[in-house]
Amino acid sequence: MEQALSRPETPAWISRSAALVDAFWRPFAGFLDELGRLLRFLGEVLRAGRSRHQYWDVVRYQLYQVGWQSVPIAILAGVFVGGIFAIQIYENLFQFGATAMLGGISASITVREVGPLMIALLLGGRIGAFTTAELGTMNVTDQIDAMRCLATDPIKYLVVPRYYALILMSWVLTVIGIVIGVLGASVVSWFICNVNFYLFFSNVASLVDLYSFLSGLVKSMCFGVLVSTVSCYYGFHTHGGAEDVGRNVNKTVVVLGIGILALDYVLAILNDAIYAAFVAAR
Amino acid sequence: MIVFRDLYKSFGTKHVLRGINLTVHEGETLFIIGASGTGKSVTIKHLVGLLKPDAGEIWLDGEEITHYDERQFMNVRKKCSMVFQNPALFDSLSVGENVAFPLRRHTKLSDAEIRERVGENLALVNMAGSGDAMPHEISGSMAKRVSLARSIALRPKYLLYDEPTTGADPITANTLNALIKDMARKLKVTSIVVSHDMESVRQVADRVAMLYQGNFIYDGKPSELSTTDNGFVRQFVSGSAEGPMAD
Amino acid sequence: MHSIAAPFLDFGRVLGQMLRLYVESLAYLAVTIKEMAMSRKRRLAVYSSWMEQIYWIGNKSVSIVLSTIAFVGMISIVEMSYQMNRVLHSTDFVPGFAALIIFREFASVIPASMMAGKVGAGITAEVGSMQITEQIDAMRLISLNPVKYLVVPRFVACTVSLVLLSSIASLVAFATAMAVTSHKLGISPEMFINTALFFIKPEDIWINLFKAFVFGQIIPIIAAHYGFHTRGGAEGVGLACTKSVVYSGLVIVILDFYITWAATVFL
Repeated sequence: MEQALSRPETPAWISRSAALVDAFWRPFAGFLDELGRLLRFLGEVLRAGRSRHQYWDVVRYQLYQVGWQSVPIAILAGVFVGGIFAIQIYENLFQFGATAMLGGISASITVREVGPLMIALLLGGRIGAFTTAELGTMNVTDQIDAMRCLATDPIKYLVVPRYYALILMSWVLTVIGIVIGVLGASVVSWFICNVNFYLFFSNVASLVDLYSFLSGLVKSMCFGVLVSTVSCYYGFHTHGGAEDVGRNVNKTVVVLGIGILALDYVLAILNDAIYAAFVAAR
Repeated sequence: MIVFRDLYKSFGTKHVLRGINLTVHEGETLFIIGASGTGKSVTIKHLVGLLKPDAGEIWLDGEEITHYDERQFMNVRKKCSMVFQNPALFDSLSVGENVAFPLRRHTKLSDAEIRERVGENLALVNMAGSGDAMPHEISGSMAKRVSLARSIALRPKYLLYDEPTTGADPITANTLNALIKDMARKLKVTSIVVSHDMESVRQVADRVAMLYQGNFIYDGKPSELSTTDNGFVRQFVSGSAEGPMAD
Repeated sequence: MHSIAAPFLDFGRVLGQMLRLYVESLAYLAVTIKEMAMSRKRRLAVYSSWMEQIYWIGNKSVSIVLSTIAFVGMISIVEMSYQMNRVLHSTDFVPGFAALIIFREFASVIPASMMAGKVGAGITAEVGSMQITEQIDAMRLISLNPVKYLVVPRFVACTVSLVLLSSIASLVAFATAMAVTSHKLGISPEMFINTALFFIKPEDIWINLFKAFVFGQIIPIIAAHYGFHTRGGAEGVGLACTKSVVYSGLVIVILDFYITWAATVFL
């Protein structure tokens, strides 16, 4: 097909200013592009997840492979992060003589913010990299195309189970991290900050309510969805050879690092708004 | 019967298929030959929906599958199965589980029946008894045979082979050629083989079609390949570096 | 060593190996400095290799570190205002608390975690690939010590980069926190700076730099360790990278605790 139309020359100033706008707009456009593609991927996953038949055996396999090995890390990290925040908040409160509040505030911060965030950063990055590597290698060796040729939707078989497994894992690991974190904080408070257990925990009970706990869980679920989406998307869209797999793993880690924190900020604001609108009004 | 009518496919500025026409009759073993990069694999990938054409029509058993979406292709893929150049075995599953995979997903057979079928299929490709091995434990040619066993598990009508003997040593190549003939005979499948291995063509093909610069320039019996009028075809077949082919 | 949890079991042995690598790196660093004093040409060669590494590492980390720390600044404000509202029923001290926690904790830990993820994995991948293609052995055969030529430049570069990045990060977090506070709590930037300065003491800045200094040394050592101990082809490199990122992250958290504790005792 031939295109025999001739177009008039664009004036130089238009093309130059267009190039300038383009240069500034490129990174944002690229970012929005990528975000759009990720969301579209998420849409496909949700659609595949709606069908009645799910591959639960794959879910179990994922849970064991990835989740089980993460538990010791969650415990260790929980203890020390709990301790760190206990000390830091104690220092802050000390200046006001409000050290009695140590239990409540440190537990509250752990449940709402630090717990889900720490688990997401420490483990989400690792699980995400692992998943991207796994799926990327499968893609590069044609296993995903082969699966489609065997009339099985690879999204239903590979991706959706990972979503279930990862969301469940993030809840379990977050709860572990939070509980261990609060316990660790109480121990540190007693030995280092001279706030005894009783005072610590009674304050926890008064300051940590069900809403905080639920918001922490919702947050960790959102992180789970983010980790799954990013890692499975980059794993699936690996073209080329083994080096491309490595490059995509790198991309996953970077996008997850920034994405987790960006999502945390968005969720924190939403949380605030919902709290102000529904809970505080009572 | 498969019909390609005026099929066009480009990748960016590369016009790979420029209006090809091809008919594949039931029961025959058709070889698509041509130099590397001429679009042979591209052609057969359209049959399983891995690629979508820019223009033209594809008919499979009286259905027009040109504009089918992913879900509709799922049904097509049960009838028309592809064996990849890369064995593409699922590395987390054993050999037996790999072959069982389509059976588990698309049939309601019991475990025992599935195991029986898997044994049958592995025996057909001369890999009997290796059901428990893992993909990374077996050699490349064994993996190719397992991959074939997996593709025939649902007894498809059409089998597509993407460069089966490329990169294989002569003994393995002959084994694979014999297998392709076997499948055609025993399972009564129609086979389309993409290859540039002239030895395979001589041993196996019922009919040959050659792709050059986006069109089929030969379509007929393998025995007439070296005596045809077309200079391009003769050059390719003889493997000579000199001739009308631009390279 | 085919599972990621295996190092837990060999904890003592692995720790010993890493400490040995650390001591070796310091020793070779001393040797390099002594060599530098001897000739000008040597000085230039070493500086250029260090600069090259700093440039490489800086390039890799800057965008991710600054983006993440920007969000951290904002999150601190949102969370602190929630807590302050509930406990003290006033948000006057939010800038102070947030600034304190930014300087003492986040400005060093978050950049360190991001650097461990990107640069640490990169070092492990590089050294690991060299290990499985036997380039490390080849180096030893021509009397080039791998620690001196591979580890020391990255060691210096990571430490310097992280200290610099932490300083910049604290300012960036501060800035975004200021922006959010003025928008959300109506506290003007001047008030913000005043309140913050009231709370922040010089020790806090020293703590930040010290933590960055320590973390900047850990990341390359752990990364190089897993790089040298890579076995098993491309998959092995991937496994080593994962281990290096996870364990760097853990060690950062653990050391952070001990440094924080020590700070309360000694300051």
